[in-house]
Amino acid sequence: MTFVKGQGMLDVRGLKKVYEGSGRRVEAVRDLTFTVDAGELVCLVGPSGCGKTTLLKCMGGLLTPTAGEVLLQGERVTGPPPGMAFVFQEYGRSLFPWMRVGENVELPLKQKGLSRSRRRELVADALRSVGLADAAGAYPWQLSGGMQQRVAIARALAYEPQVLLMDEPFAAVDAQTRADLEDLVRGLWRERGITILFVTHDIDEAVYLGERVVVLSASPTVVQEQLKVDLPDDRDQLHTRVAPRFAELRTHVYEQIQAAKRGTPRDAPEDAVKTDAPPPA
Amino acid sequence: MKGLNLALGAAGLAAFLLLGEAVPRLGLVKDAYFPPTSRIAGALGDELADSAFWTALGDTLTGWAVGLAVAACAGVVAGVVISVVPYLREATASTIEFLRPIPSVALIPLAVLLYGTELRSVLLLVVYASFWQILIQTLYGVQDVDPVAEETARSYGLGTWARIRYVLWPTALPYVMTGLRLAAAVALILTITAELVIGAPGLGARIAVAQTSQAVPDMYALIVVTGVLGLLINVGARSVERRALAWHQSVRGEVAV
Repeated sequence: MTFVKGQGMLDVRGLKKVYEGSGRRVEAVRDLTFTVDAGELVCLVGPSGCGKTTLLKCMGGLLTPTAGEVLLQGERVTGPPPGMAFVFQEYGRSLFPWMRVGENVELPLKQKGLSRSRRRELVADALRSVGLADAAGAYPWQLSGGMQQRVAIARALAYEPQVLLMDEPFAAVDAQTRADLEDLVRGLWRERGITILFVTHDIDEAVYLGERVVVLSASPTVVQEQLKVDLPDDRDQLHTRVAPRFAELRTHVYEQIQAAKRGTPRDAPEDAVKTDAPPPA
Repeated sequence: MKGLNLALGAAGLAAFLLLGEAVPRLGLVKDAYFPPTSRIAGALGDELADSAFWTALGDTLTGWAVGLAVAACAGVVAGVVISVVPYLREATASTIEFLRPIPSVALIPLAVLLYGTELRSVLLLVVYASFWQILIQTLYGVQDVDPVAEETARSYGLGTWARIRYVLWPTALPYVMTGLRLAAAVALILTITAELVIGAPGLGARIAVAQTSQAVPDMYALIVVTGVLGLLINVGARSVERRALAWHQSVRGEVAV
């Protein structure tokens, strides 16, 4: 157990989640094991309905897994940990319409018990980072979808998390806004050195953003494959997306997802664990 | 457009008042029971000059306001507690459904037995009638909490109390406001009823006195006053609602982004 500490920021071990209710038993996640290192940007892709959101909610302490565990810096996650921030897909529902943008960003900080001046500093800094420095006084519903998701990201940043969990955050915005937001996330990640786990169903997005892509199988979910993205750190929408290596990687991930849908997982979990992290002793 | 509507509204009201003047004067109804508008207006003028009228108005408003305030506080607190404590909602649902339809007026004998013609008698009826309006709306409102908003709050470490304050309460507020508006109208009805039937001091009791002393125009004048009160209460409640819910879709309308 000791080697785990300091090595993985996030450890997911043998995670299993079964929903039971009204006579139906749904195994959303069967057995997931993977690690996210400190400062890494990992993208999780998988066929739709493969339990990505379930997995993320278990990691964020919002759901209790049926079996297995999630460790944040070696500490078992039992509830939402203070070092973790969550960005939801449904920004319109995740931001509180009764609070102004600044108040939305500030609310979690109040709960942290930070001083007023420190809170102001963090709010202003976070809003500046996402390019919304002068939107603090607006209500979220006065902003466009892309701007609202920026506010949600600012709220997460101001919280100063070690780990940022993002659940298909750009699924509901248009393509151009999406490209901007992708660059924003990469920029923030490089600037702030936060560990980011980014869930998406978009293969291009996963390859473009991630340092590593974890491909999940169809439900009941296991890890289909883990793939290192060996693209240069400096990425941009114009050149990276037409690079031959990008095409190779996306084709590979695409094939994996198709294989996952057909339900022929190639014993990937063991392989992957061997290459990325030693198996638990 | 707004000016036109206002003019039409004023014209309609004027026509209605004229009709009230003409019908008794033409002898279509007995003017002893249905005095013309001008006589009612005259009686209203006399009432307004009488300090006893203002005392009665004050009594009525006191009964209304205190009753409504007690009902609102109790209704909101009970609604939130019933929703937040597990199983309490299920346990109380049938009792609430049984108690709610009991007409407040049916409690008049009980009120008289307990408190005679005191203010407390009025309050019992007013609180009983308005409490359910607010409780039911609060229960609906609390159920409307968005699961994503709730999960957001939990993921940022907001505890139970903070989630009640920052998520549950603002979500329920539009419903509570509707409940409050309905309760404000019901509270006025019950205040006047209680005064009229029980004889607790107030406009209702004054209407009863005017009736028994054959002061028919005065009776109408007092009825007009209660109508105006109802109108003002509704206007007031709506403006409070608009202020408190400036962020809500029903008030802000569609925003062009």
